[in-house]
Amino acid sequence: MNTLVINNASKVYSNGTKALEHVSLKISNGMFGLLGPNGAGKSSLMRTIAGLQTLTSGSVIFNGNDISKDPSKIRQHLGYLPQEFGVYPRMSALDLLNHIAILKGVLNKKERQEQIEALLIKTNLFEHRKKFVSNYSGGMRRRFGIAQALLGNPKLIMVDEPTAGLDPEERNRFLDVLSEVSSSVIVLLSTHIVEDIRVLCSNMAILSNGQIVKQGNPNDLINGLHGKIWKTPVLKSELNVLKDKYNVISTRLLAGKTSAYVFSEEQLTTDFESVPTDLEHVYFHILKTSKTTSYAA
Amino acid sequence: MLLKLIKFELKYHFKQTSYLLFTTLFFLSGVYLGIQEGAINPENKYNIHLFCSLISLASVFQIVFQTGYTVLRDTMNNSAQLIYTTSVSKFQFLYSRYLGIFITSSFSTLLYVLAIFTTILIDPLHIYSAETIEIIDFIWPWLIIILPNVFILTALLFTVALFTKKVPLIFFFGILIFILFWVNNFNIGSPFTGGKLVVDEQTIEKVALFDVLGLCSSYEQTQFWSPLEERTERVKFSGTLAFNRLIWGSLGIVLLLVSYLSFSFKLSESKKGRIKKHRFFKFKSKKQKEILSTPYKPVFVLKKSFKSRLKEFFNLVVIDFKITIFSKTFILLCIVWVGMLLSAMLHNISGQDVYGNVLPTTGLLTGLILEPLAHIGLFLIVFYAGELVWKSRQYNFNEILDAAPTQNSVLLFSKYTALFLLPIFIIVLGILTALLIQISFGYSTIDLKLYLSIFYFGGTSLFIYGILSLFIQQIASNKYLGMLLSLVVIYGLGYGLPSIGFQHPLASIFQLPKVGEGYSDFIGYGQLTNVFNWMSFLWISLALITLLISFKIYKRTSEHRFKNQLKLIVTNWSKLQRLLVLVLLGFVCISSVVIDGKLIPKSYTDDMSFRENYEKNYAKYKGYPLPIVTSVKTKVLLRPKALKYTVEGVYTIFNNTEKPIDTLLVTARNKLDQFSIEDAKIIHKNSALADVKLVVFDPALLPHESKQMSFKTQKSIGDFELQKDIISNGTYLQNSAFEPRFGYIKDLEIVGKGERKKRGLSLEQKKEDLKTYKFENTTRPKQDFETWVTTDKNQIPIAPGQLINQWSTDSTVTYHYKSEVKTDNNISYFSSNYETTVEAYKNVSIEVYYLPKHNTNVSEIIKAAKATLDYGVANFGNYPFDHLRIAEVPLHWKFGGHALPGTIAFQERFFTQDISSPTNGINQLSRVVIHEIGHQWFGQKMSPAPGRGGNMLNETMANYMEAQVLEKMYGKAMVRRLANFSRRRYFNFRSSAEIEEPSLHLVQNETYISYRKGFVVMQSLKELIGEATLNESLKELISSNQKQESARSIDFINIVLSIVDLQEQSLINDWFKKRIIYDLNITNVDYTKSENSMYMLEIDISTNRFETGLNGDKSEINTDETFTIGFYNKYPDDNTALPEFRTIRLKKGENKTNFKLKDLPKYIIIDPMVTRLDEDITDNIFEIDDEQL
Ligand SMILES: Nc1ncnc2c1ncn2[C@@H]1O[C@H](COP(=O)(O)OP(=O)(O)O)[C@@H](O)[C@H]1O
Ligand SMILES: [Mg+2]
Repeated sequence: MNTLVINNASKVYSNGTKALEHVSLKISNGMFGLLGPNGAGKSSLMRTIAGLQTLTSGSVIFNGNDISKDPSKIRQHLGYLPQEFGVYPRMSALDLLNHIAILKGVLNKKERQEQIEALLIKTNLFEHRKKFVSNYSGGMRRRFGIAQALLGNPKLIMVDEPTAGLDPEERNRFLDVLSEVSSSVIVLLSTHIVEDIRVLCSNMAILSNGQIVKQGNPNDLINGLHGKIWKTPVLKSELNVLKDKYNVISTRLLAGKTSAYVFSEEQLTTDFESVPTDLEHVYFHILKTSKTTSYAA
Repeated sequence: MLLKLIKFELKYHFKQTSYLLFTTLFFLSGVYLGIQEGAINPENKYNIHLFCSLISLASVFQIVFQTGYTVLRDTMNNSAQLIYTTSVSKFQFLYSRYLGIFITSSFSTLLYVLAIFTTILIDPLHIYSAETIEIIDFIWPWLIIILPNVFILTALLFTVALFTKKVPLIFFFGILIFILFWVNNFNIGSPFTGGKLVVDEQTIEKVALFDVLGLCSSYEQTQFWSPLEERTERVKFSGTLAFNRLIWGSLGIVLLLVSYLSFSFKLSESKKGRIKKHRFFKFKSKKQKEILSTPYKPVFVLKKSFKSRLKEFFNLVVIDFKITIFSKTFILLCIVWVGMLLSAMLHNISGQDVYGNVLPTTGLLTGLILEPLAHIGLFLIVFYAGELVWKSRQYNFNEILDAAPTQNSVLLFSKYTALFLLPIFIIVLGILTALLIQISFGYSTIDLKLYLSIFYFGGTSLFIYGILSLFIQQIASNKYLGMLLSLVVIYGLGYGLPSIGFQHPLASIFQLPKVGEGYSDFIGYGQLTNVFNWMSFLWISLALITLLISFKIYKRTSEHRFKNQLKLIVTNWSKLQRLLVLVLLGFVCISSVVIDGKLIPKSYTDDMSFRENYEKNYAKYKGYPLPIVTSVKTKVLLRPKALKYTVEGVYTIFNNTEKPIDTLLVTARNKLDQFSIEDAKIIHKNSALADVKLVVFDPALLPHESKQMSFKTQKSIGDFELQKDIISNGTYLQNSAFEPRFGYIKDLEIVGKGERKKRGLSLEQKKEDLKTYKFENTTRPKQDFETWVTTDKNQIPIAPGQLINQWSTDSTVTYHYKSEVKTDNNISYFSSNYETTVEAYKNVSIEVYYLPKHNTNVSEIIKAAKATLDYGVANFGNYPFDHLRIAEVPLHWKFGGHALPGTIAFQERFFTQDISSPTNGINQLSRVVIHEIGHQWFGQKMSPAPGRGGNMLNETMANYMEAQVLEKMYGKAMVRRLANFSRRRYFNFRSSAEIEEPSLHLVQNETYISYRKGFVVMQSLKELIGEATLNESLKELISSNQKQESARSIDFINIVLSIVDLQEQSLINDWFKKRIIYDLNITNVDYTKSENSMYMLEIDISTNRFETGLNGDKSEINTDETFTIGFYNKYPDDNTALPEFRTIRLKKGENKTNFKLKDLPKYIIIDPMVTRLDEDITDNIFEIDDEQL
């Protein structure tokens, strides 16, 4: 069993941005979803765990080792797919994977070749293995990214918004690969797409403005809101009135008509119809409440 | 809109650190030049022009940086798509950017020029005495040279940037412009490269047109300017210069148009889908099925072992190295490098004209690699340090790489290694190029060890610079700033302290001695190797401390914070690190102390305080009557292996004046262990630096009385001492190195005005009045000479004189020489492991002493020696000695040859001259042999009296000898080439001399007069009175001046004058006693064929003469004299041409002359043998057009 413990982590960038504030998390094997809007601090958290940045305060402890003291302790077991990454020009996927595998310490040539082959197949890149990675399309490149993250023997796999910009088929394939390996390792997946989490993650946290605003099992979170989400059709002009009156957590445009989703303990008027709760409602509800509280504070 | 955009651009540039840095540097260098005595002469407009224009070179780099930043800031910051889709028009977009660069760069250069001007105007150190300094003299070069250059360069680099969008290529182009400039200037021998090559006019004109920066064009316009013109004339915007500016200016405009037309707001596309050909890693072809069934499983990774680190390391290095060397920029750079080397090597081997061909020896080629390696290597290192450090970030690969479990040290070490592989790579390329040349020239004595030494002598600096640049890149906030900072730091550390007057060998931080030219086959790099070793040890230790720090502050974060890194430098040192730093610091201290102690203070001539005190204390002895030496007996003990020598001398001194001598000032370079003069007492001595003594005679030394003087001195050379007197092999010890000198030595007076002012020395300098110079009737007796020279066993000691006896002990060998005739005081002692070739020729034993491997040219030397002896004996009387020794001396002696009585020191480089085609160009080897043997008559047999004009009898006549013997040996065409060379050199050197030009008969040390003008004038004289008469006169001069040093230039002129008619007398007086130059020009040739198949030629010649006054003014004077006209069937420099010479009398102005010839000539030349000083001889030649018939 691997454990990753984040204690009261805070990160302030040199320009004064508070990217993380008192973040505490405890993660063990399995897939952990980190959900949050852009700018919430997801990438900052991941870079910190990878030892690429130092915390302003707090600590990250992996399997008992404080990584701010010795980042190499975590890097030995790390598979990391950054949110954005590029590659050297004029290098094929094969060469580059080979290079990274050696850096990760896969020295046995046969093992290395086998693992690279397997990963290329798994990520559906085998055909393109001799092409320059710099010429790959966005989806191919991301799949290459996951292949490189899985090289060696990672115990902690971090993927930072890996599904952004992928088409549905690519996305499924991608997530499949992840879930396959997640039984014996920690997979930390950050995303701003709720869908990604619901399918796969046994545990999740919602990050907003650098703070953890909710944490738990996705199903528990959904159950917590059971029967409290109501839907009503609304005209664009009336939306503001509605928002003033009720706790509107999101709106959705369906076939040219706008519907508003409202959180309420009980039915408000007959215009409102109860809908089954899904994770997205949870996410928006929590974001909304966390914002109002932080304004209030 | 455009204005607003430009304003925005200007603001942008003014905020760029690199721009500010460049501008500050420009400004500071202006100020620096202004306060540097001897750099700029504000009284010389040409000099101002030169120094102002030079900034063009630096502006190349400034523009490179600015262009790089401007054009690529969008693509680099990924904002191109945003800007390209705004409403800005193409015109506004492009030209606001162009103008932004142009205006800001122009401003920086203007600042430089103004800084020079104001500094000179204010003159804070009081070094200038110019009365008026006009700002226009500074602004003018800015307007005609610098501003157009900035315009052109910006257009050029801007276009490159637009088309390629690659910063490295912009850099590359910048460097290319820079290199082209140096090659151009080198090829025409312009003052920028310090060289004074002689190149024919057409080449210079071509290069002047071709030079982007227009600096060659300035040179082309001014090459023949007289000193007066340089002072009073501004470089004109006309001729080739104007043409050059127009050509390049229009090219600039065309480029701007082209870039406007071809630019569109599109992103550059990269070629997609290329299949990679090379692979680093072979994928075993397996059956498809098998592959598809391979399941993914984690591979268990062991804890990192040393082996795994090694593997990671190699993998990283290989990737970095491959990406670099297969990049376009690097390949281009290599092509340029090899091209440069090839051209430099070929240029040196097939030296033009006078320089003659040289064998491609390893020593020569190694030097030619080392020289440019220092510069190219520095750029290579600085540039690729940036590329390597920022590469992963540039490609956004850094997070993946940094998150890998690779150790910091492995990552960093791989960077260093990849970087150091680059200079190694280009050194290997250089060596291969050199080998290629040696093999294709069939030169087989290849010295591999010497080639390998390039890695050490050339690579060490680059190693140090590499550590520095990588360190700087680590703390810099972006790549290009890092590069610039690296250059600033490297140059700043290297030249900062010395440039503000801090003169200590350790003040040039991280600078190693340059060894490139220091190689000699006698001793390799000699003592330079010691200095180099210790200096390398010192600076490498210091650099390693930097390396350690760079390891310490290395953080794999995406955050870059200078403050944090600074903190890291001081905190958290581990025990091992502390120990390492201590050890390294120890090394630094030890080597500093060693170097400080061993690098002995420079000689007293470099010590300004000594010279100040010398002048203050002893100037009062100026003009005291002095004795001369009439007999020299020395015992010279040379110990080359131990780098020591001892001299014991017993001299006879003689009062040759009409006054009694009672007080005598004696100055010796080395401390004298013993010194005494018969009947004289030392009443004062000061041996702090030089040994200065004041001696009083009691009783006084009466006129024509002799006394004996004896002294003993010894010198031991330090390991580091870079001197040439005694070296382990190749000693050439001149008597001036140890002999005490009599009287106040005026040469020790400080020359620099500022320095004199600072030290409170008087400024007025009395000038001799040339107009009223009177030849005095002073004669000097010559001296007897006898010596016993001892040296190490395996070497041969040589000195002038007849060899009387020789003997040896177990470890030494002694030769006893005694001169059978009285000689002048031109004595040196040689010692080397010589090989000897002896040939008896007409009662003279011709002996050549040379390094065993330098045997190729011995027969040519002997051939030239025989020809010279023949000519000399036939025309000037018997050769004064029974031996003629020609002994090789090492390359570091800058003379070609040096004549001692019966003995000639002959420079190493002639022994590696390629004389396989001796008639080509000018046979430099024979030329120098003839010259030096010529001195045995003109210098030894007949020695000039003290006073002006002596060199006309020495050097001019030895040059005359060259012409005569070379003609006998190799024909007239070679003499014509030599004469033409002399003519050009005269004008070239005259332009950098004093305004007041002495006439030939009053010449002192002005070589451009005694050698060059003398050569040409003697050829005119020969034409006028005939070779036989001329030689007769010389013989008469020699025979009446054999006993004493008594010959005067005027005596020779009078002999000649006495045998010619009045009209000839006036010409001879013109040539020898005045400054006369000619302007000859064949303006047209018409010809018809008559019935008897003879050709009738009508030739128009314009003739003009000018006299230059002592104050530099030039005035036209009358012409009426006889010239030779040559009809050539081939180009006159062709050895196989068969010219027909006729004489014609020409008058001032236009002349029409008619000739009847059997064959139609191809070329008609007025004054074909170049016997007149004519600035431009391209119009002396007329090519006949066959089509005319
Ligand atoms: N290197 C940096 N310097 C300063 N601020 C940064 C840096 N990186 C991210 N930030 C800021 O920190 C906050 C969190 O960013 P990030 O961690 O990238 O969020 P997410 O990945 O959730 O979108 C944002 O406001 C972002 O602007
Ligand atoms: Mg992010």
